[in-house]
Amino acid sequence: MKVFASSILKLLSLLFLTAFAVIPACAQSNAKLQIDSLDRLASRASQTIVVSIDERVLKMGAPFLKSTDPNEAQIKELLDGIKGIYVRNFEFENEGEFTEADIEAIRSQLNAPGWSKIVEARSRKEGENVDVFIKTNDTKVEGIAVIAFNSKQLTVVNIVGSVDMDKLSQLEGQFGVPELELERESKENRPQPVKKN
Amino acid sequence: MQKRLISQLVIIILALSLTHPVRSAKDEGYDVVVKLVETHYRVKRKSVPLLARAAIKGGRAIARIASSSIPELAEAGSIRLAVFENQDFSHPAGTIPFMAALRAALSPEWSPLVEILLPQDDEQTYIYLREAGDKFKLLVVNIGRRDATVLQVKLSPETLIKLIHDPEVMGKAIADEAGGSNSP
Repeated sequence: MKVFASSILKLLSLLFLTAFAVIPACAQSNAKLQIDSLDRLASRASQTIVVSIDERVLKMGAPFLKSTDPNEAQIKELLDGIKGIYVRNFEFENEGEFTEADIEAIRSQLNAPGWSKIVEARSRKEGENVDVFIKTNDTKVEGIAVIAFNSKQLTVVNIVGSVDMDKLSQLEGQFGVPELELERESKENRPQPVKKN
Repeated sequence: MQKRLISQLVIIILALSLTHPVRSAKDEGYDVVVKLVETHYRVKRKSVPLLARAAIKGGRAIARIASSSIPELAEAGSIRLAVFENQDFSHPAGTIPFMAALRAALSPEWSPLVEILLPQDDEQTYIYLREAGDKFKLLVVNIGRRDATVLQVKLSPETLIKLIHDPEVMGKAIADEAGGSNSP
């Protein structure tokens, strides 16, 4: 009995240790950024839009997209491999309502292993700044992040799952992803909003 | 030794149960949110006779997102609606505390889809989703300067797809339809 009791306690201890060891490992492999910290900007913004289409919501809707309907089939293909779409968009009345530190809170997460900056666009004339980051694991894309801002607007887009630049440009203007004008020509091929019969 | 082992196991099980808070089966999003609006803003929802007008508003809102008529929607499932009219929804701390309170109040089964804050117009719109068998429950909270609406409805999967395809535009459309007197 003593041996049995001791074994159970050892097993429970091991389970606890394993559980705590697994949590950080999962977090590391996840391409989901912590963007909630930006929400405090909402108190200064003239408009705040938060879109969170998580894996659960996608799983709820995606199975009902009909492959027989060309438009729905296109949406299905677009969402294939995507595990989440998270957007924060803030518009401000005045300049200087957000700082470099606010953006740095997101950029610092993109310094983690696996993330690389693939686009850095700066427009001095219009004051527009767009950075696009991609997270890869070997050759597999696990996520994408976009930070776009000017003096009165800040947008952060985080798409988790298998997504590339082509897909990102197709997602613009849909599923809560704002128009980032990453690739104008691909917009003509977008699926139209679903219409109920 | 056996007693000691049992007591240790009980402590472990208790510790584990405390890390997973259990919510009441009555923890329906609608009830939680209506209570939250009442306590946060110290307002009262409208009495039953006035709900007739409110039901039309709610029906219009859902019809808008479902692109269908109200009778069709009535077949789709239940609509729960609370309307707060001509009351003061200003808060000294602005809109952020309500957003935080709402996120904390809803059970994890509810997924936030869209949150839109327009402080200049004192307008807030929140849309949450959860599974409900083969359908989905949509919870819409719209708070204006003098009016607020809490709306919960069951949706078909087709309507859900439409909603996630264009959440921002749909969110604003729902806010306009379900919203209070601030809406044109």
